[in-house]
Amino acid sequence: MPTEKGMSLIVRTVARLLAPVMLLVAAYIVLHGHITHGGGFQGGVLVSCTLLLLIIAFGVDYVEAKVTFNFGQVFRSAGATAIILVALVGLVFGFWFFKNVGVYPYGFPGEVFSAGSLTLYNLAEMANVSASFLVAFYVLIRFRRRGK
Amino acid sequence: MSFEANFPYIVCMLLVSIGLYCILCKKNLIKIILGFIILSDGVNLFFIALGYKAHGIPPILHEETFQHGLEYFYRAAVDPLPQAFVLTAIVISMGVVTAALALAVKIYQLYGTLETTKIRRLKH
Amino acid sequence: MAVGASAATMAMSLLLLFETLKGNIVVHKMAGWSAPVGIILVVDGFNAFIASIIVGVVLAAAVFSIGYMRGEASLNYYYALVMLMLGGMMGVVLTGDLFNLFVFLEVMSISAYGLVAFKSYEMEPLEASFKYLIMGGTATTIILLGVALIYGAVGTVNLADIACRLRSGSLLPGVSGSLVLPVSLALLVTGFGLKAAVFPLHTWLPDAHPAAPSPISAILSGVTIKVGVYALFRILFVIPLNVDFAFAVAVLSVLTMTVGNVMAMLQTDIKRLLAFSSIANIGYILLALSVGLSGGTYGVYGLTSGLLHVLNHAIMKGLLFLTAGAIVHAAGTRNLEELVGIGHRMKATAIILVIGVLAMAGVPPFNGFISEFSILLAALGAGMGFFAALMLANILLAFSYYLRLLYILVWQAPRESLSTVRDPSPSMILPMSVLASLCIVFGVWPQPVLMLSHHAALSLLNLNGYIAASLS
Repeated sequence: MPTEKGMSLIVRTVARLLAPVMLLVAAYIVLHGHITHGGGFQGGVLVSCTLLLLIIAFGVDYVEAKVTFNFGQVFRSAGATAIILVALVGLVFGFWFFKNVGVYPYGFPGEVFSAGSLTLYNLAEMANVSASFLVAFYVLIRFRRRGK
Repeated sequence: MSFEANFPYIVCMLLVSIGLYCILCKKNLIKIILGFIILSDGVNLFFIALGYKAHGIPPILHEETFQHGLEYFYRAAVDPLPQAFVLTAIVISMGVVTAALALAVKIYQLYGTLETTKIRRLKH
Repeated sequence: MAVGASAATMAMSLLLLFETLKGNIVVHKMAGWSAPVGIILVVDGFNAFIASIIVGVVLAAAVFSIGYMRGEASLNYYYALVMLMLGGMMGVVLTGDLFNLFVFLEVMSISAYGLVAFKSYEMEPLEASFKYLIMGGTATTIILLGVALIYGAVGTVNLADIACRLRSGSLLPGVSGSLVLPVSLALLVTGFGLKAAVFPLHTWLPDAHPAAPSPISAILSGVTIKVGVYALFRILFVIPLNVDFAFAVAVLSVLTMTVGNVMAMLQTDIKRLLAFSSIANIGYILLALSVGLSGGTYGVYGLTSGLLHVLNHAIMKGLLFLTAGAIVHAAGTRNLEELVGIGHRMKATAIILVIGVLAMAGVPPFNGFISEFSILLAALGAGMGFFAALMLANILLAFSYYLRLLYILVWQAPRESLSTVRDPSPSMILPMSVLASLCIVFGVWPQPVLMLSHHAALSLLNLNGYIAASLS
């Protein structure tokens, strides 16, 4: 059972080792969103799952001291706003809403930086999704505490 | 169509019926939510099964697919569209389930129970 | 800010309406991909008509909310959810893609669940919202199953492309269209029917609509259920029918209106009464739809009158829920027995209430009369005399309980406990009076709205133009 203070030493050590790797995989998934399966949403879910792992291992107070609730809210709104802004850039420069425009020179298919504003969508989506999940976790955990 | 070819669809419909049964007949809010999850997963699985091809390859364009030619790619790659649809549908059902759980927690705080027989104060 | 945003959306949708009035169909290709591949927004006369109604009611409710919701906690979430619901409804109405329609329907529904449960410190909204959520969530899942079946049969989810391929009979290999299409159509009709509160699936509405804050009740009852009706109209005309759907829809409509009216007679809660009367009005609109499905000249006439009733009911029911909200806000109770004679204390609200109730009851100088009468005429003309007679009986039934409502609220001597009640603030009176004057204007001068709804009905029937514009 996850308690207020977190779980045993084994779990905490494994979580500490695993968290950076999970973040790295999340970054990989986000940046390769236009080449392989995956993208902003999947990467964002992975980021939020990393934080959930930390919450379970170290307790919610430990995580919430570092990534606060308000920070999550701001990050979430920033992600959503960024998506709309990039879509508007497409509307202004590419005539259609959500149009993919080359904010940097296009590369060759299969390269990481080859997708124009699609990468920006992925990054913004990652911010939005990870922060929203985190906020949802915090809210549900707080509910549970208040119910006691 | 043989039984084997239809097997995934039968399983999906079974899941859908289990989900509907849970929603209609269970008296606990959490069980109702679980039924909803099973129902939406059944539908999602059905959608995925529509796009499945035996021995299919991932629908990703890269050098190897160009070597075999686009004709081969078109025949062998699984349909990517249902996967995109299902991803969206999963996100949506996640949102619904989150909202339902939040409501269930609120209801539990106010009533101290999750049984529908005890909390249904609304007229039918 | 929310008011500004909805006013801007109102201006844009009116612009679109005028554009489509010229006979054009406006298409916006998302991300520049054209139709069968990408998601497109298609706006013809029908879309633009419904969209303008939606934005108008949401604008009125947003202005009303300024006064009504003052003092509530976390208002930023309230307005955000209202805007999200507006976005969802506009998306459902404007999109030309079946799956995208499903997505926007969920956006709309999730924000509606949140708004119904907005007063989360009370018990009733929570339970109503939970019931709404489970039923609505199941409905959208069933819609998704229908979409999946159609995708499996046709290989596309673009509405115009579906219509085109089904009419040319080019299904995917190994699919028996006579089996798959009726099943998927039945699933879609079930799902959208729940969203529109059609008879056997209406049970969420009388719980959810009264429990929400009153401006939200106005939006939910005025336009959110109309979104389901819109989807029904669109789907039934896009997917060709090899079953006699007109008769089935007529039976459903008669059941819906009868249940709505009979239940409304028995209510002692003012908002619950209005919610049941919404169900009855959905029944009237469905009868018009079934006349439209039976085709011919009277089909066009039936669709026109049905769409006119969509407009009129949105105005009247929005007005009545806002008025009820003002009354409930002032008196602090929804029980009719405790609201006896409140009209004597709230003179301005009482005048508006009388206009709204008379319009709803179908009294001639107001707009409700025009559309209900024309639905009756269309049903008679299409040879559905039996259903028309039942609808007439229903209208008379509705007239009786509206008169009772007026008698209790306005005619009887006021109770002692209501002596301190006063009229609400001007920001609440303003949207109410605008809607009330629209009731009168569209009642005595119905030509413009008749022309608009006729145009909308014609563009709904003009499937070839829709296909050509979408796939170009």
